[in-house]
Amino acid sequence: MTAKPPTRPRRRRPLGELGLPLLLVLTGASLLRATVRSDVHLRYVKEGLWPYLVASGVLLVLLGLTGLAAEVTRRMRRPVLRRDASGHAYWHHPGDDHAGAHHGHGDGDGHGPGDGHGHGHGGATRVAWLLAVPALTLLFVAPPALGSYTAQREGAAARVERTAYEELADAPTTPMALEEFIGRSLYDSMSLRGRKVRLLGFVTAGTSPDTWFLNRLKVGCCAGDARTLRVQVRGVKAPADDTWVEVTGVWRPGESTADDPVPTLEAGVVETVPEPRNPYQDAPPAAG
Amino acid sequence: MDEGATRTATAPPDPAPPLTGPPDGRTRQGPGRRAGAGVLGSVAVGAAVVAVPAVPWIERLSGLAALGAWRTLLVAIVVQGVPFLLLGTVVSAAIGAFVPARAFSRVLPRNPVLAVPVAGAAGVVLPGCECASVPVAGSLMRRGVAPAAALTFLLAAPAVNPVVLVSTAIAFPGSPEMVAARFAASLVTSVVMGWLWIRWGREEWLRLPTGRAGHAPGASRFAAFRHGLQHDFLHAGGFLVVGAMAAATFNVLVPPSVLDVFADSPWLGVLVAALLAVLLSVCSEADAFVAASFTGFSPTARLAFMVVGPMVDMKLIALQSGAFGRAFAVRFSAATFVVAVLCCVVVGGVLL
Repeated sequence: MTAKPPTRPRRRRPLGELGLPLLLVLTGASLLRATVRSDVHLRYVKEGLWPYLVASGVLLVLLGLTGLAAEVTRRMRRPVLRRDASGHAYWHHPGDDHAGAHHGHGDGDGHGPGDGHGHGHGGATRVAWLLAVPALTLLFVAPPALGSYTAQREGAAARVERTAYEELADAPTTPMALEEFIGRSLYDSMSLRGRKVRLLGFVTAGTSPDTWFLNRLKVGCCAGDARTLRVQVRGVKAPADDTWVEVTGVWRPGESTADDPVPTLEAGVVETVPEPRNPYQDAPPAAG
Repeated sequence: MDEGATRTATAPPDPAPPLTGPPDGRTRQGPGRRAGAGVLGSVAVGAAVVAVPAVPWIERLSGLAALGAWRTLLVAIVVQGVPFLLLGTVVSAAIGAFVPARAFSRVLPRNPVLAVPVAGAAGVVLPGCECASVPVAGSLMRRGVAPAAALTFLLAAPAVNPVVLVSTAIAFPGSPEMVAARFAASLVTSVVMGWLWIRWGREEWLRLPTGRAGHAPGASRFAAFRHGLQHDFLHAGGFLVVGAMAAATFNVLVPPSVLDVFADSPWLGVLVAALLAVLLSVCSEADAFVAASFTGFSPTARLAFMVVGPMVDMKLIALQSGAFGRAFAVRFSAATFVVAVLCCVVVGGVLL
């Protein structure tokens, strides 16, 4: 018997060709887990990305499943003994006719003598497995939205641009977004004088138990670009850090400047509320 | 290490007698030195993957709030990047599998010096952030587009597309000159980089993956497309995670107040803002909002943040090393950084 065992190339991957399609499925599944009937993605990215995330998740899962199917059917075919031009027998895998042609490139497990041309790309498939870190994190241990740690950092308070401020309607209390409150306190403070407002945000501790901060983080695209909006609250004992609260109170004229815009609210009532659906959207609290 | 497992995994279901012989020499004589490094790399990546469920536990145990923020940022940057990366790899795999090789040479001027500005202007059509442009540029090169033109496209696409310009206009209400300055400085930088590449670039710095294009006569186009997509996406995705880890680490470690120190000096301000763009790696669709919040910085410094960010940042350097090799990524990013800062100073001086 002159047949050598099939000279399958040295494989570095425990799962062989199944690993990468599985990784695609895993990545896609983690995106779907965070988006379909779930608001988990809102902890990380802006709401407008939702359709793209779902589409990406579906596409990745389909792509991975197709890859798995292709690989499984390839393995189902048994190798056949063939003879090359010089009469030596070798094992031929029917599925390799085209699959092998791809694997030769880039993946770092070249067929044929030596795997030299896989050089430098052998690392490519290893690096790919790093995708499993965010994917598994998202699937099983999804971290919470950014909160007090980010808001509390020194010099974090972001500047608020001046916009057109509408005349406020007469009401006993006016629900207001944090950004609008800060903007009015800087550029249109007359509209706040003597007016009772209600603000929504999460708590971070201040210098004393009854001087603390109400915060919102505003996101343009993903949590990586979060800007902090802060209001100093006085006169009420601070709830625990990261608690979401609605605070009703009156603006207190102070030394807040455009460069360090942290106005002060003289608080009357503090109510604990559940975390809003989209924590990074600076919406005013519901009227009532 | 995984020899045994793979052997059984890849062996046919019903092995013929010769198959059960001892492993052939090839598997042993393989590059042993590299295999050592390979095992180390595999172990490192494996450890990172396995550590995932342990992290929240460590977090609670040590009260490290920073670790929680780090994880949130990592996931956020990756989740935000994946759709764009996928778009880019779909486009690039489609180019590889379905577009005939001659198509581009017909559209682009034959002379690379002229092709560069055309490629820069073509950047307007790819609406997305920078993750999408790296795989597309790679497949353009494999399709025979002059590297200079492909690189210009790579730099221009994430910076001058309509989505980015509109978000800039929203972030800087009442100052349309900022949008104009961003457009001009980005376009000029990418075209200048293309021309610099023609003059001084060397092909050997570029390590292009040998083309999946045009191989395998027996392969169906769909199989080629699927395989190209799988390889490109996973490959680039891994590097996206590397870049996201770096950016999240910087974001957590450096307090925002450090920046105020540099904001006052105009020259240093421009440099620091540009460096910050590299380190923070904010998506090009959102960086205008971040730039707008850099209150202490001069308009030119903010412009530098928005021009450098989509062209050079941690995740792009990682993605480019993956696609073209580290030798290229380091040189190209350094040169782009310098050219972009100079362009910003000039354009900022004229327009802002």
